[in-house]
Amino acid sequence: MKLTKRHFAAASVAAVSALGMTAASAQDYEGAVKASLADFAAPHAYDGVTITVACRHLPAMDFIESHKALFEAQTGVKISFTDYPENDLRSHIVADAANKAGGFQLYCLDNNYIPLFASSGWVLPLDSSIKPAYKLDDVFDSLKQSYSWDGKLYGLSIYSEVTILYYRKDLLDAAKLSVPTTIAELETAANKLKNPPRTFGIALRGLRGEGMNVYTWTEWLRSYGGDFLGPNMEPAFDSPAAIEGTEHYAKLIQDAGPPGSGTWGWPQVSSSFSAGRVAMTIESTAFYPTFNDPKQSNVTGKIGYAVVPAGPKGAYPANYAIGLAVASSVDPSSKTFEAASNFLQWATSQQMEFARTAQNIGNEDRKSVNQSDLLKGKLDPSYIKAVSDGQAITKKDYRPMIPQWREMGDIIGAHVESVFTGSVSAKEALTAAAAETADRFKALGLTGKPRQYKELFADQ
Amino acid sequence: MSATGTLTLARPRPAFRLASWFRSPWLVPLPGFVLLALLSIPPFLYAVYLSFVNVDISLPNAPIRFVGFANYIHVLGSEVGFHALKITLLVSFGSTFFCIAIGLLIAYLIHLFAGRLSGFVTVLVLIPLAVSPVAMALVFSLMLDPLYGPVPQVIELLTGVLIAPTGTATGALVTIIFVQTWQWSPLAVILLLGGIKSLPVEPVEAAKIDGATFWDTFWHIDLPLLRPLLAVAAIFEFILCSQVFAATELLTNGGPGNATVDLSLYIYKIGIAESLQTSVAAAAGVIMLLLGLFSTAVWLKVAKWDTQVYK
Repeated sequence: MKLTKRHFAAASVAAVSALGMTAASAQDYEGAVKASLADFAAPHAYDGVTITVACRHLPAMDFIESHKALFEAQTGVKISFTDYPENDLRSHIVADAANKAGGFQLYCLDNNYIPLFASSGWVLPLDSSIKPAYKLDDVFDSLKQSYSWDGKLYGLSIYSEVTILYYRKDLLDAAKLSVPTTIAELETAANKLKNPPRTFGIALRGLRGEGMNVYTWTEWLRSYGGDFLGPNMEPAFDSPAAIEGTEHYAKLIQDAGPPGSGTWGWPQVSSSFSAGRVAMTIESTAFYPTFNDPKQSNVTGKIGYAVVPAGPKGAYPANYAIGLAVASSVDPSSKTFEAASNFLQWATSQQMEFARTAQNIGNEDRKSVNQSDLLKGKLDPSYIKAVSDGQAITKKDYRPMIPQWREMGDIIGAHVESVFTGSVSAKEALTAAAAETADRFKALGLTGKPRQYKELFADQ
Repeated sequence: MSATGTLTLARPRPAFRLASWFRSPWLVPLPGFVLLALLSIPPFLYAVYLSFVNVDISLPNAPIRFVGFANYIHVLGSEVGFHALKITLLVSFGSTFFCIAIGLLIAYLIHLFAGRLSGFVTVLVLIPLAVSPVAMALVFSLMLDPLYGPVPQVIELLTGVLIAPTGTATGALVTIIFVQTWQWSPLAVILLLGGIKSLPVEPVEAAKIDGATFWDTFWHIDLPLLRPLLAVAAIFEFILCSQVFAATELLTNGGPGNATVDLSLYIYKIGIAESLQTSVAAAAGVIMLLLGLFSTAVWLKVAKWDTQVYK
C-alpha cells in the first residue's frame, strides 16, 4: 500500500519469464485492444468533448495514457492526464470535488476513499453505463465490492494487491520446515529460522500509519476475531481478541524480527527480504517484481509464495486497490459522462489488461488474466495461486470502509507502534487508541449513529 | 539677489518638517518593517482567530463558532499534545545546551591548538551547517539502519550485539538530540571562537603571574567575559534547535509510537497529515510561538547578556 513508482517496476517480471513474449503475439494483444474500441464507442461519438483525468504515475496508469490516442482517434474526444505526486493527489481531488469545480471528469481513487467520495456525492454510480463487453463478472469480486458503496458501483480498478506470505524456500528446506499455514506455525518457523545477526525470522511493518503498520496488523486483529467498531460506532478494537492478536504480532516482531523493526515501514521490510536478511515476510503482491529482479534482490529463485497464514478465526489477507471514478460535476445524462464512462471501461477492459500484462506491467484485476497462459508463462505458479486464493478470501471490510477510516487508522497505528517497540502493553495501547478514536468520533458527530458496514465477526 | 530673496521667502515650513523627518532613523528600515508586518502579522492574527474557533476540514459544512480555550485545552490536556510539548522543551533545551558546550570546547581547541591552520579547521567545522536538515536526517537514518548502517555494524563488531539506535523511545530521543547538536553546534563554534580571539589578554596574563591555572582563568576570567556572547549564541542555537521537524519527521517519524512527536510534528500530523483539525493545529502553533518567546526571555535573563562585565 502507498507504494512508489519503482515498486511497480514491471520490466523485472521478465526476469522469471521462462518463455517470454514473442513480438508477434504481443501484437495480437495490441490488435485486440484496437478491435475492442468499437465495443465501447461509435466513431466520432464524442467530437468536441474534453476529459481531464486527475491521477498519479503508476505503470498501469502510464500504460493507459500511452494508449489514449487510440480512443481519441476513434471517438473524437480529447483526453488529458494531470499527474500529481502521490501525497498531493488527494487534496487536489478533494478540493475539486468539494467545491464542484469541475476541473476533472475522472478521479484516480484508492479503494478506501470510495466511502468518503460516494457518501459525499462526489462521484457518480456507473452500474447502468457498464457495457456487456466490459465483462464485469471477470473482475475480482473483492475489487467490485471495495469500489461499491450502498450497493452501487463507483469505480473501476487499474491496480490491485493483496498481501501474501513470501518465504525463503532454501532456508525452510534446510530447517526441514513446511510452509506455515497458521500463525502458530509462522511463529515457530520464524523463531527457528532466526540466526542473528546475519538472518532474522520475519520482517513485518511496525511504522505507524493507516497504510503502514495498520495495513498488516489488521490481519492479526481479524485472525484472532477482533472487530473495529460496535453497532453504534463505538470503538471495539480494544477487545480481548484484538489484544491477543496485537500481542502475537508484537511478539513476532520482537522475538524473530531484526532489531528495531518495530519502527520499520514497507521500504525497510521489503529491502531486508530482498537482501536476504529475513527468511519470511507478509507483504503486498506489489513487491513480486522487486524481489525477482536480480538487480535489486539477492534472493531471486529462492522465494516461495503462499496465502497468508490463518489465526484461530481464519486467514485475512489485506487488500488495496487504485481505480478511476467519474466526478459528480459531470452531468450523468450528458455526452461527457458517456465519454468518461466508456473511456474508463475501455481503459480497464480485459483486452487492455492482457496487453498491459504482455508488456510485463503486472498486477491482475481480472480472473481471466490471473488464470491465463500468458501470466503462467511469466510468473511463478505458486505466486499466481497465492494471488487468486488471496483475492478470493480477502474481505471488503478488512478495514472498515467508512469515510473516517484514514484518521482512525492513523490513531491506531501510532499506538500499536509503541507495542511493537515494547514501550507499552497491547492492552494499554489499544485502550488509549479506542479512547482517542471515541473522542474524535464524538467531535465528528458519529457517536451513537448506527454503523453503516458489516463487521466481520459481530454481524455474522 | 532677487533669486536668493525669493528662495528665502518661498521656503515653506512643511517642507522643512518633511526634511527633518527624512533624517529620522525610522525611515531607512521602514519599508522592511512594513513588508515584514504585511507578510507575518495577517497570517499570525488569522492563526490566533483559528485557534479560538472550531474549524475542522473533516466537517466542511459545520457552522464556525467561538469555542474559547477548548483547542488549547485539547492540545495541553491530551496525552499526545502534552507529550509533544515536553519533547519540544527537552529537545530544544537539551540540544541547545550540548551545542553551546560542544561549541565552546571545539572553539577552545581551535584557539589553543590549530595555530596557523585555524582558518582551515574552522571551515571544516562549518560543514554540518551547510547540509540541509532533510538530507542530514536521511543520511543519519541510513547510517543508523540496523542491517546496513555502519554505526550498528561497528557496534556489533565491538560488542557482538546488533542494536537499533532509534528502535526505543530513549534511543530515538537521544539520537534526535545528537543529530541536532551535530548540525547546529558549528554556529556556536564560530560565534564563540570570534569571542575567544577578541578577549583581552591583560587579565589572563595578570592572573597567570599570580599563579592561576588554565582552568582558573577559564572559569573566572574567560567565561564571565564571554557571557554576553554565550547568551547570543544560546538564543540563536535555541531558535535553530527548536526547529526539529526534519529530524522527527524523517528520522523517527515521531516514533516509536508518539515517543518523539514534538510540537511541530504534532501540528503537521493533527492539522494536515493524519487528521484535519485545523483549529487544534492553530492552537498548538500559538502555544509553540509563546514557548519560543518565553524561552528567549529566559535565556536573556539567565545569561544577563546586557550586563557589562569588563570595563
